[in-house]
Amino acid sequence: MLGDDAELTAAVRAAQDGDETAFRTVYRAVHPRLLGYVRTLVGEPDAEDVTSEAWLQIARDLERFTGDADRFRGWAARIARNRALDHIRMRGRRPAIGGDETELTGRAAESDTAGEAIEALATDGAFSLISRLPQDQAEAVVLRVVVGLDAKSAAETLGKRPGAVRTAAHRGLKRLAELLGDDPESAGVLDALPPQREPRRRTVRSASVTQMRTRTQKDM
Amino acid sequence: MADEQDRWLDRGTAERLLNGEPPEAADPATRDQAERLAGTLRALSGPPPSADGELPGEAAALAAFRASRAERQVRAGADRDTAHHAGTKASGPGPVRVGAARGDRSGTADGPRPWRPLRLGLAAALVAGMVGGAAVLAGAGVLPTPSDETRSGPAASVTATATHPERPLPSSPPGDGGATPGGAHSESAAGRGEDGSDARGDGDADAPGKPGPDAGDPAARSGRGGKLIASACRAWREGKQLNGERKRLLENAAGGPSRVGGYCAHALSAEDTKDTKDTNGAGGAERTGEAKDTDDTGSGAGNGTGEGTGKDQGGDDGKGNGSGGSEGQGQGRDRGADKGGSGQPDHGNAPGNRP
Repeated sequence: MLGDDAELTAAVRAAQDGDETAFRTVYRAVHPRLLGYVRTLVGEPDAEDVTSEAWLQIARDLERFTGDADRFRGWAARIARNRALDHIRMRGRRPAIGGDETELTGRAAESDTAGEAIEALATDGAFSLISRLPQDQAEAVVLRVVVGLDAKSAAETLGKRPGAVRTAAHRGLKRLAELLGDDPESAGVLDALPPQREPRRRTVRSASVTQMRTRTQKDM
Repeated sequence: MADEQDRWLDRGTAERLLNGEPPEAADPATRDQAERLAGTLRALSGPPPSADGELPGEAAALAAFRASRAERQVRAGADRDTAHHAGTKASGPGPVRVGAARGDRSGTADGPRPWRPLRLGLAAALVAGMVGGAAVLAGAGVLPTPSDETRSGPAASVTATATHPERPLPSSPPGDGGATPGGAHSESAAGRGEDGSDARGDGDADAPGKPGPDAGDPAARSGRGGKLIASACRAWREGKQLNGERKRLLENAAGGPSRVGGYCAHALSAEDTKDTKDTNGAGGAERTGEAKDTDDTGSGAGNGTGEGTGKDQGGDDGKGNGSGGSEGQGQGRDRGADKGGSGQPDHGNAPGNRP
């Protein structure tokens, strides 16, 4: 899943030279990851807005970025993190981590097919498990698994030492495994997850198209 | 429980899982647990990058990308521009220039030069005026709140702007670039200017007796938010790097990063009319003219947008704002400075009249 680093690196460079198609490529490669990370920080309802804000900044500052795909993801994650923290500050609430799971479950209902519902539930279930981790563990796990950073980049993003982040991620996994053991319900949902990822991809795509449409209409 | 996890979930296995690799547990009892954990992690991560299908927010991000490129080009163009002035006369249209503007100037040879200080003065004055306008807008709730950023297109002005802003920027050769302005001549500019003034004239009694944008009583209009926006606009125009805060403020006010150009042109030129309402779009015509002047370096975006705004909101306030003075000025500048400018005022006016 992280195999396209060379492509992403090339796309980032091309985008820096002004290539719009390359920018789209970068967006599509990185946005879902960023969204997942932001979701961990601010919760589902605000994640998209915050991620959008992050992208505005990424687009503007892209010129000044230097580095490869991995660094880019780390850089983007740092921007997203800052936006998310701003957002939390503005909102005057604590991060969604450790909190409100109802926020996470509402979404599944919007999906129209059983398959999509299961997909959404699986994702939501996973995020709700993550939200039960201490924040440093949750962030470490998500930066590694979702954003696709290595321990070093994750550490840079968080402003910590790689060893600390490695430990936090490890603890987070252990805690997750415990939660999975304790919580047959979420485990059940996750078991229902279809084995291959193909259908999942389609789901996400169609969902995004719908959202785009509403958004454009609003803009008009 | 934790001990149990420790048995199979050692650092090595954790690293594998974190890297998205399948767990390699030999023991069937723990393999199940490992698989479940791996499944959870898979569910967390998004789908692999797909080449097709636009994602949510993609359009907005792309717009920001374009805008920032355009901005850079404007800056580059500005540099080139100064270079031109310093050396030979500026006959070569910078890539960024909007349409006819450049050509016209070169015709005047050194004409524009002396205007510069004045323009700067006007710019300052415009900014002051803008303050009030923005304050009013903000007060009226027209400006989007930060969270709206991507979605809202509340003010008509915003929408209008959206269409043009980036287009002109990448700049085309003077001839066709002027598209919107319709390759206006200076004369036509004048003509239009008048039209515009008429339009406004009807309504507005008070309006600005004096043409001078500076004449305006900025004090009357000042508002903090507006001030911030105005100064951000100015900085934006000058190609300075805005810090995150100001950038966001500006973008929120404009309704999106790509609309900043138009918004600023509009906002800064609002000063001109001196009317607080201006911001609402009225008097688009005059302002546009000035706006261009001010940003001498000419951001195509600014101009293009200006028109749009004028129309939309002109409806409400357009008539109200008229001022004889502005007419005079508007025209003068148009001629001196750029044709492009003249074209736009035209648009602004038209709408004003309709309502």
